[in-house]
Amino acid sequence: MNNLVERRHWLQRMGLGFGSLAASYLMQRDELRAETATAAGIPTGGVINPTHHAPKAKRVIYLFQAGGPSQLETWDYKPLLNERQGEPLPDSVRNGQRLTGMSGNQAILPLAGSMFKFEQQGKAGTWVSELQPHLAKQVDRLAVIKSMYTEAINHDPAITMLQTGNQISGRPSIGSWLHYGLGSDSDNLPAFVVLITKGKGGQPLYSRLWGSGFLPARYQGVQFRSGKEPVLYLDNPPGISRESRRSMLDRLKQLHELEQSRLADPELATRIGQYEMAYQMQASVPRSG
Amino acid sequence: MPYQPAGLWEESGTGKTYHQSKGEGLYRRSLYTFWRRTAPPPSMLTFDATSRESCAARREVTTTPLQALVFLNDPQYVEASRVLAEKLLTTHVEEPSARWDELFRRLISRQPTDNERTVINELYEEQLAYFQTEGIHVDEFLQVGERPVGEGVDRADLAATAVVVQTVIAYDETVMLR
Repeated sequence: MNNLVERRHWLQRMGLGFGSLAASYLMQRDELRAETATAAGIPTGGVINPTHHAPKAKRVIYLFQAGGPSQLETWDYKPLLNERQGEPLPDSVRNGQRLTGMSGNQAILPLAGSMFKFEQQGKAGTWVSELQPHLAKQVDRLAVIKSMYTEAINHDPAITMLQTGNQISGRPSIGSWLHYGLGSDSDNLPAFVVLITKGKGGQPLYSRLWGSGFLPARYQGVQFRSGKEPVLYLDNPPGISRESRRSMLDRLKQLHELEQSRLADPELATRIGQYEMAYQMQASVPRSG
Repeated sequence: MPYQPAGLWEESGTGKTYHQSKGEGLYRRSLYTFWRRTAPPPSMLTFDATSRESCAARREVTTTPLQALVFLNDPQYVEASRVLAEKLLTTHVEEPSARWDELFRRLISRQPTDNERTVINELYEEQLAYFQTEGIHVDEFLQVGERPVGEGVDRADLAATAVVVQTVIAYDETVMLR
C-alpha cells in the first residue's frame, strides 16, 4: 500500500513537473511566513500580502438569519406576484425544476405574493416592507443586493452554498477564507468568531457552516457561546489559579526551548506561540457572567 | 459517550440531548466515540478530525490555541493526567525523579535528559508548594473527572504530580511526530 502511494506520488510529480514543485514550495513558504509571524508576536498577515487595495473595513459582521423572513416579505418587492395571486406557476418560470419533498405532492402550485405592504423609503427610494419600520429610516445607509441566489431547492444545501460557495459540503466557509487571505491583527483573540442563537428550534446549524473545509483547522470559526464559558475549555480546571497555570506554561516553554535547540523546527515556535495565545485568550475573551 | 461540555447538541438544534456515559463507557477508546455530524465531538474537531462529510485524502496537521485549551482544561485530559499521576505516585512513593523516568517512558518512549529533569523538578516543586499552601485547591482539582481518588494517597502530592503529567501531555514531543 505504501509503495503504491509513493509510486503514485512520484508519477504525479514527474507528470506535473516543476510547476507542481514550485507551487508546493510557494505554499510552504507562505505557510512558513504566516507561522513565523505568529511566533514572533508580529500581527499576522494572510496569504494576500500586501492587500490589492488599501483596506478601509476593520472587521466584518455577518448576520445570517437562518429561518428568518423571506426576501419576498422584506426587501424584494414583487408587485406582479400579488397581481397574479393564486394563478398556477407558469412553466416558463418553473422550467422543469425539481420540487421539494414539501411541495411535491401539491395538486397545484399557485403563485403567492407578499402578505405585507411595501413602500419606497429614503432618498434612494429603496423598497422596504412594513415589517421593517426602523430599518426603513436608515435605508440610505444600507446597500441592498438582490442578485444572489442558489439553485438548491432545500434549506441545507442552500445554506451551505451561501456560507461556502458550494451546495456540497467540504469547502471552506467565508470567514475561513477571510482569515486565510487577510490574516488577523489580534494576537489574543481568534480572527473568526461564530455566535449562534440558542434554543430556538428550527433548522439545525452544522459546524461545517463555519468550518475550514480543506484549509487547516486553525482557520475554522471559533464558536463563542453564551454563559460563563464563551469558548469551549476556556477556563482552567477548578483549583488551578492563573498564577499556577502561568508557572506551568513557563516550564512547558522551557521544555519546548530544549526541544527547539535539538530540532530547529519552525513549527515548534508556532506551538510555543499558540500556548501563549491560549493563555492571553483566557484573559481577553469577554464573559457575560 | 465521553466528556463533552453541556448543551452543544441543543444549541445546534439537533433536537437531542447528549447523555455522557457512566463507568466503563466513559473510558472507551475514542475510535468508538459516538459521532453526530451536526455537532461532532468538539475536542476532536479541534485536533483536525475530518468532519466526515466528504472524502479527505490527507489529514491536516495544525497547531492552534484551542488545542492548548483542550490539553490543559478538558476534563478528559485533566482526569487522565490525574489517574496516570496516581499510578506514578503509588509506584514511586519516595522518589519523585523515578516518576519522571516512567512518565517520559510511557508518553515519549525515552528517558528525560538532565535538562528536562531539572525543568520538571522545578515545576513539581512549584506546584507542590502551591497545593500544600492552598488545601482547598487540591480538593477542587482532584474532583475533576468521575474516577475516584484512591485511599491513603498524599493528595497535594497527587495534584502536583498531575500538573506535571498534564505538562508532559501538552509537550510537543508527546503529541507530534517530527
